[in-house]
Amino acid sequence: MRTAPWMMAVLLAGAPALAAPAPAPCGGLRFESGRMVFGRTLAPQGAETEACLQHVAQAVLARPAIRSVTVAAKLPDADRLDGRGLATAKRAAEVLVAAGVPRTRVSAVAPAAVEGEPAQLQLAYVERPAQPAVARVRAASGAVDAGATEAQLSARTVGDSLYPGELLRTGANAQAELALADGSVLRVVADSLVKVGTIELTASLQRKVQLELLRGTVETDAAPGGVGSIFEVRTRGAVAGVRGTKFRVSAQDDGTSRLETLEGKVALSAAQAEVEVAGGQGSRAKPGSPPEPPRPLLAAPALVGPRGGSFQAIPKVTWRPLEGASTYRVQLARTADFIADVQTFETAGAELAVPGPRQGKWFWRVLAVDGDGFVGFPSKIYTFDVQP
Amino acid sequence: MDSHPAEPIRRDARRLPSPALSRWQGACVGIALAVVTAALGGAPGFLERSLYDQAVSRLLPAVPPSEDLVLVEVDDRALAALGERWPLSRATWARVFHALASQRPAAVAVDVVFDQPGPRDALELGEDILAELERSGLMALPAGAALAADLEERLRTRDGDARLAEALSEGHGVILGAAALTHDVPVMQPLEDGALGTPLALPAPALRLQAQEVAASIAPLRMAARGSGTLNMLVDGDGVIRRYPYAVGVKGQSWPSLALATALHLTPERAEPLRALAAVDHGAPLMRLPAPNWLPRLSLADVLHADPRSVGLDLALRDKTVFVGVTATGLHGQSTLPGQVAVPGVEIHAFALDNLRSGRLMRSSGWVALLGVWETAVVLLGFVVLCRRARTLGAVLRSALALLALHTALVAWLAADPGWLIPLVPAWVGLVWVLLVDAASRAEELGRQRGALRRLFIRYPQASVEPAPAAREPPPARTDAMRQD
Repeated sequence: MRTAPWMMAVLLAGAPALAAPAPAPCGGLRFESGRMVFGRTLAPQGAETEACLQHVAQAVLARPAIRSVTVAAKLPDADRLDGRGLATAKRAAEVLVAAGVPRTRVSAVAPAAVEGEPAQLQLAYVERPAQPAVARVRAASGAVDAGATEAQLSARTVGDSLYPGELLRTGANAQAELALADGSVLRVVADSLVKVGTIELTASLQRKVQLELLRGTVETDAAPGGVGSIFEVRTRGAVAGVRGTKFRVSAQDDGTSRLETLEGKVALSAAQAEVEVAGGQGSRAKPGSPPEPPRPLLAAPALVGPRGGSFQAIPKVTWRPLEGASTYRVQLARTADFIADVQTFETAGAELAVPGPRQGKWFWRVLAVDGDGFVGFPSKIYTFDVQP
Repeated sequence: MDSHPAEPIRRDARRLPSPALSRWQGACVGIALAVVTAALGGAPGFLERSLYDQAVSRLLPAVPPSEDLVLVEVDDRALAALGERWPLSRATWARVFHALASQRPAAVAVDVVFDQPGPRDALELGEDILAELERSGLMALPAGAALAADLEERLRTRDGDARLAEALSEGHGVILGAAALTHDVPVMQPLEDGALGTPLALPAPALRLQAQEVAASIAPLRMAARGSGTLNMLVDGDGVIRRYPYAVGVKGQSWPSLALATALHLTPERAEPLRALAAVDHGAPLMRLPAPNWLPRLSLADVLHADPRSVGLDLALRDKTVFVGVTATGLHGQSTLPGQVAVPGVEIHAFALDNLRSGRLMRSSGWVALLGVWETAVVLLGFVVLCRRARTLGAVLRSALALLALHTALVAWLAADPGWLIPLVPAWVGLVWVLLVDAASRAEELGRQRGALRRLFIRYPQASVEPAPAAREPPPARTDAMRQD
């Protein structure tokens, strides 16, 4: 069992795909095994060549994995004399530089041409070493995007890898569950934005996991780590460091960080102060303020019904009111693990007419939320089956 | 003594099979060995490897030294002079190829694969500083602009991959190493498209060396160089390299070895005959061995530190085919040629090139293997026929020795002159087998005749002692003799 995080790290390690077709003006451009393959022979100079090189520059800039480009002018011997071949290659390299590729990343060569081949420009590139992935999307429902910056977010689905420093965003009614390289699980609820920071593993089973919650809420099942391990979820104003296993961290728009510990212990530190929040307790840190003393979380609501059975119409779900609860969060899902396709509804009363239409088997549970937004323990899970 | 009912049966079981059948069996064993050798790729078979090694290293004439091949070796002295450890930095390699290019060799074959980019941490730090300089607006100041220009120039100098690509493109033609990824090759990053360049026009499935993937130098270096060739060797089970794979099959395509790629570059007009030669014996013919120290050597330290205008360096390198590889203690592969130990791999590539362009390859599979089976069969069947006709064991022995000598001489001549290696041992085994069987059957026959004679002499003792007794004498002894019966 102790090797599980390492196995996960191995499973997650994979090179990001680089090959991507690009349209004209080069007649097509592909990045293959370090070579740029054009749809047509690239003449040593001319307007078409220049347009193609500018297109190449844009393609290179869009691929941070490319760290250097070499331009080769392959000309017949007669045209290479007196350094003319190298001058041609350097001219082409200057086009790339002018289009924004850093000069230090572009070099030019003029090797001898292969007999019988036309004079042409060839380009090759060197990639950065493949970064090992630090997380994998284990479950996703709704709009789940990831990317290096918020401007570069693209849709991700189950099985996709995340690399150090990447952002993951969940849309409204979306949810994602990430398997981290150390074996921990991170659930990102709707309307959240989290940055997957450093995840380091050492041979002595020490691990260092640093996540940054920029918006919304994440729920964490931290895998056990060796002595000296660090598992931190940072928000704008606080840091939640794991000393237990299961907790939720929320970053509110006003800068308040909220922690709810479900199992074990979590230290919440902010403004140079720290409180230890044990299981069944919560705490929050307002901007610029130390964490508040821990408070008990609301207990799990007792569900009244339905507790199974088939219904021709969508039944009304009810539960017993809980003292201290200001609202209730009702969750419906197709599976009992509430990982994918989770629908969440907020209501102030102790019942909810579930909006429809819906058909088939549904799992449901309720969480009580207090006046300060602290979410309590989830209720038991019951089902109902809608068969119109 | 009472006779037992089972006794006659036991006597029959001890009796040897008929001599003719045993002789045929012996011949068939020899022929079967020859067939097995042919089926396993040709001579030398498992039993004849050490014989082959002794023969090619001591008896066959060695390959004469080549005038136009030279080895530039990364030896202990070069490492000490450079103050570097292996592998050398890309900047040092760039200096090496720049220095070589200035001596105008005909070709440079490199027994190294630059399959990973050089370190760029310092370069990226420099790039970050440049970017910060630009963002801060300092580059608008003369001092800032000068600082940026200086930094850019330093970064350019330190970009080892780029400088190496430049140096490779300067020469007349550099052939870089590559590696077909077989089970005995250390893990290397394979090429995604699996293409070293233009594949050879050889049927890939027929090649002896097959691999699933191929690894090579990084793309900018391959683009700047003239070509790439695989560095793989074919090592027999006893650790000896007897065959050189001139081509390797990878996913239905054929790629050249370093020796073949260099030969094709040097003599493009002979491309077709060279490819045909390289295809001999499924692309991996047996090699003839060189004389010790046949390849002139030059230390990398001399190439880097000698005056580029040195006459000695010019004589050593101009228009020569230069092989570059490591020979420093503990760094080169422990490749073993027949009768030799620990030959650096780069020498074997040079030696293979020499074999190829001079056509001194030995073939042992295909029709040569069939010839071997046929020759073995002729020798053994001929001996069986001679055995039947010979009246005495001496005559059989003389026939066996004569055929043995004839077969050995034929095998030696075919190997030495046209370079066809046919099996030696199967015919020997068959001959000895048939000889022993024949001798045993003749001994048995002799014993049987002797016994019959003895019985006859016992029955007629007087006749044997006194062939002309007096006619009138009564024969009392004869009555006794009959009674004894």
